[in-house]
Amino acid sequence: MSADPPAEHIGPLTESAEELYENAPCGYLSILPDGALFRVNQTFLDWTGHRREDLLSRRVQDLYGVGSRIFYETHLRPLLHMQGEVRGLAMEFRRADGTLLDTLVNATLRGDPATGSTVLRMTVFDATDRRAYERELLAERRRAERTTVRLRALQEMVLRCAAIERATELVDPIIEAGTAAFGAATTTVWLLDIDGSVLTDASAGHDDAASIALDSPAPQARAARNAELVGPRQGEVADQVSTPLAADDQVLGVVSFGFATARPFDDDEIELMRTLGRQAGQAMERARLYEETTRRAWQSAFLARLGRDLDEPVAPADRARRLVSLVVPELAEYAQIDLVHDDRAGWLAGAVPPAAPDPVGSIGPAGPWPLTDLVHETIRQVQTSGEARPVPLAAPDGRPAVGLPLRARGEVVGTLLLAGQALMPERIDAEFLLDLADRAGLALDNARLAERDREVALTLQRSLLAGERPIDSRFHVTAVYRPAIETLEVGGDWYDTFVTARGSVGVVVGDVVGRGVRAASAMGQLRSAVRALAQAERSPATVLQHMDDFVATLEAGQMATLAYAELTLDTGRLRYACAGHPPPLLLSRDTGPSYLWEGRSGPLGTRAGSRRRREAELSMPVGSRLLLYTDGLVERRGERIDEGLSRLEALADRWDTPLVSLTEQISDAMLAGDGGHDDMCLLALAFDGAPRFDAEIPADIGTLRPLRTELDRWLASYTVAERERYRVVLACSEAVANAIEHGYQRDPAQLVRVSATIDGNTVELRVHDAGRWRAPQATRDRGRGMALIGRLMDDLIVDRGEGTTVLMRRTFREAGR
Amino acid sequence: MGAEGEAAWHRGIERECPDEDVRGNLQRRATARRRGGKVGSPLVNTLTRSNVRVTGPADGRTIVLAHGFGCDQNMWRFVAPDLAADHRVVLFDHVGAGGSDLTAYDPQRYGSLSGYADDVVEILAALEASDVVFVGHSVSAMIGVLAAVAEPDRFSGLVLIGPSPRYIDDEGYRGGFSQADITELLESLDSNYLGWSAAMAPVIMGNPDRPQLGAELTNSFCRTDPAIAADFARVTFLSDNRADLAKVAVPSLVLQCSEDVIAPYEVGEYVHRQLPHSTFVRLEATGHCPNLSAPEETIKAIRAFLERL
Repeated sequence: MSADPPAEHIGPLTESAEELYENAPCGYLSILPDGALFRVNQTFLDWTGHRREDLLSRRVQDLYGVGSRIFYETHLRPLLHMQGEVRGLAMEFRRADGTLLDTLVNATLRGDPATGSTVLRMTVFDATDRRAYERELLAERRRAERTTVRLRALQEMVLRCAAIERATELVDPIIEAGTAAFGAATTTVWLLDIDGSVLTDASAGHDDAASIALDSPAPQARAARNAELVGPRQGEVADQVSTPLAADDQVLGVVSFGFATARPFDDDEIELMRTLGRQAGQAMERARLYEETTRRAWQSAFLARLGRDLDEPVAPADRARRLVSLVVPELAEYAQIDLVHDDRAGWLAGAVPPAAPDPVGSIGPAGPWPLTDLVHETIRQVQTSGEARPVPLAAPDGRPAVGLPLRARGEVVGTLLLAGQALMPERIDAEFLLDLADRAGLALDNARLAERDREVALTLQRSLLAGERPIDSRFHVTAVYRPAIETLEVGGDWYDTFVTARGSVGVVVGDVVGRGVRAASAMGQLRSAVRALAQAERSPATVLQHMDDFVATLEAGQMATLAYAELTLDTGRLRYACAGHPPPLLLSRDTGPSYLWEGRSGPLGTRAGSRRRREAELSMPVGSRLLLYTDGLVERRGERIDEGLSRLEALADRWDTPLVSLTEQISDAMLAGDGGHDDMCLLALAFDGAPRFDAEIPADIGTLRPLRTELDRWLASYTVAERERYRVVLACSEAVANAIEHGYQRDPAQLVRVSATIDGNTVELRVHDAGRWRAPQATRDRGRGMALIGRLMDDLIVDRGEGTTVLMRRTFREAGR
Repeated sequence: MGAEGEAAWHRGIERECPDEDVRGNLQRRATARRRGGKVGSPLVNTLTRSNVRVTGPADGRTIVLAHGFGCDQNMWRFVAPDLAADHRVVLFDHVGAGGSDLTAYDPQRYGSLSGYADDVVEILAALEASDVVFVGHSVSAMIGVLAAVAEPDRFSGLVLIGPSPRYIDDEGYRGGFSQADITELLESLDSNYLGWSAAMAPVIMGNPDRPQLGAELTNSFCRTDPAIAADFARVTFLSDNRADLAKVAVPSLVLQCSEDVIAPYEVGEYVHRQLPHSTFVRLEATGHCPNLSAPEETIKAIRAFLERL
């Protein structure tokens, strides 16, 4: 087997088999089937420190460490049974001093065919260095695996964060990453407040979250201050690490990882924590930017809507109510507006309770909350001191509220109180609220000014329109004025009626450009001018020519339009002229309605072309009617003007309707539906000509009979039914008898005047005596006569001025033939 | 990364991660991913998953032989042929051991012995076996107890070889190991897990994405995935199934070796006392694996029990 060695090696090589066994470079154990150690070599004893005599009474399994003992029983021994040998298994032997010896063992079962018994031979190699190396490799591998896990956790966080749009929702992924990557027992996200002075626990998600002042010695504060991770020093252990949550160079907060027990952290782990902070910070910054953009967009949209919606209502109270309904519930659960009085002497107590469903009822005391003067003053002072900001308040029911100054034209005109939670609180900031309050303040103040303006204008217009109307039995006039429905603002429409010294009646309808006080004042001047000119001038055209001169001096009258008509009462001659105005409508029983398209020229003050004004003339039949109106009556959005004219024509052709009712009915019908955007004016003149019935009789009872006959015949000529005739004649007779008896005491030298008119199916009867009412003893008779008249007629008016006028009216129920 | 590679990779994570919840999450995710790719019938899956092998006459009484911690069905190589002469013998590997489907390993399911017991029940259901005698070695004795409690109708007897319902000493109970022993064992398993494969170079140096290198084992039997083995050790040695013993309704046989350091004599006696209908047999064989060291004695005791059933 072996070659002869060189001579110089003979010494060391003279070895016995015994020596070779005992001092072999490996441990050598011979083991009986039950595990009892039968033979152990010196090398094994040297390595383990056991004494031979101690070992030979023991079993090999008792020499193993616990892990190896189980491994031996459950793995190594079964393998030996099956394979007869094992190689290279790692086993730990317990040394005499209790420490463990790392080894690799080979083992072979050696059977004796003669006895059938088996002995286990085991060689043991010291594997201390090798196992140490293995452990290092293993540790390295596990470190790499951990890093992979951490990187994956980090990647997952970044991925999740990328899909998140709200900064607050980033907290959860960060916390989960902290746990998954580093096994932190608690991960806390601290966010720096807007001033950069306080860190608040964003993980808590409620108001009383823990907070740390930035200048405190807490590690979280240090990490934020220095923008650097705070953790254990090299080789030390710690149970907390804090790393800044930073985007670029800006620190947004801190992520702190807390661990159940203090442990060391390797450089990779620390670096990954830094990376997590940076990645989370960038995600946070991005989400905040997104939120900021979204918030700005939402705020602009809200303010735009606010501006638009607030302009719709006209009255200040309506605007205030609208404002409340706009901010509740989006900005608050309850809103209240208090406005300063005009005189600034105090506060308008009438705050605006929100529209139903009424949040006041559900959250506050009944009715508006009374804000103390102190609160108002505070809000005002905030404004006047120049630092505009919302004033935090506690609402009477305890919930947080904010007071905002409503400003307009450099003054605080009121306060806006917002109480309770907004729907999306994150969308709202102080700047936005102030902006909103400014817009609202201006809108409310504009409404206040407009209302004041309107009141003045309305007063003015009323005084103009309600002027005295001429009374003459040969004609009657009625007029309707309606302001624009939407704005309720005073427009420039006006009308007038007057009699001239020439025995004619003038009617005029005009339209001044513009609205409000200026327009009202302009139309007042135009009206006076037309009246004055009509007295002096002889024709409508010359009146208009002089009006041109007049408006040249009057800025507000430029481009005014008007229709002027003058009716000579004796002859029925009608002359008219239109300055840029819609045509008058003539209603004749014989020829039907027709527009008067003659006599037209441009609006006042235009001076376009010739200065000559045109006029036209026609004969107005007795019993016919003339309508003058402004464009507000016939113009509708989306409709051609001739359609409006056609509708008016159709509506006006109603002869049964008395004049007063006719103008009202026409106005209602024309403005129904989409009408009423502009103000409008309608004037109707009825030419009655000579009174239908006019009689003067001596105060003599004997004259009654012929009077009755004549009146009855006259009524009959207007096809009044017989029973109606009877009533009217009887009423007239009673009234005349009263006048003879009590007015004149049967003095035949005195005259009783009787007149009657028929308008449509209404008869109007007047009985006048110039006497003095006397004879109380006869009261009963006369009273009886009056009572009878009252039953016969619809209306009975007794006017005792210069003498007595009894005015009676009846609308016929029964149609005549 | 292949399914196996990913599975192994996750096991690596899972063992390192100290937080139970997070580990659970990772594991569930890994499991879901692994399961996503699986196809085939449940029956085939069950039988291939556990590397089930059936020998002996099809009409013979079904005997299931279940291996314990540390090895695989090769454990029965000296016992099974004898029993297969007149019984339908079912052999299988617990998931993670031997020829089982490693990708079927779900740390959640196998986080307690009942997961392994569920496998046994599923195998028997797949084989439509009844009147079964379950022979469990070491930790499989308790797995058999749990399976018999879960589905008593399927079983007619239990043979428990070296059983232990609890390895750690407790008040009034001696399991053979102190808490410190088990801690040392688990630490040792952790650092020594290479020993299980005895093929450290490929495992340590190799790409963990290619664990097949680790499958080239020096030892051809008792192949065990080291990471799963560590889990299995934890589940085994930290288990406490004492309360389940009284629930066993079928007759049982306790086979106790002499000088068994894993399951000491007192423990075998304890199991015998707690089981309602049990027979206690002390074997001459020493150690923990009489099925290997003393197959004839083991077979004889099992046959004696079978005859009385």
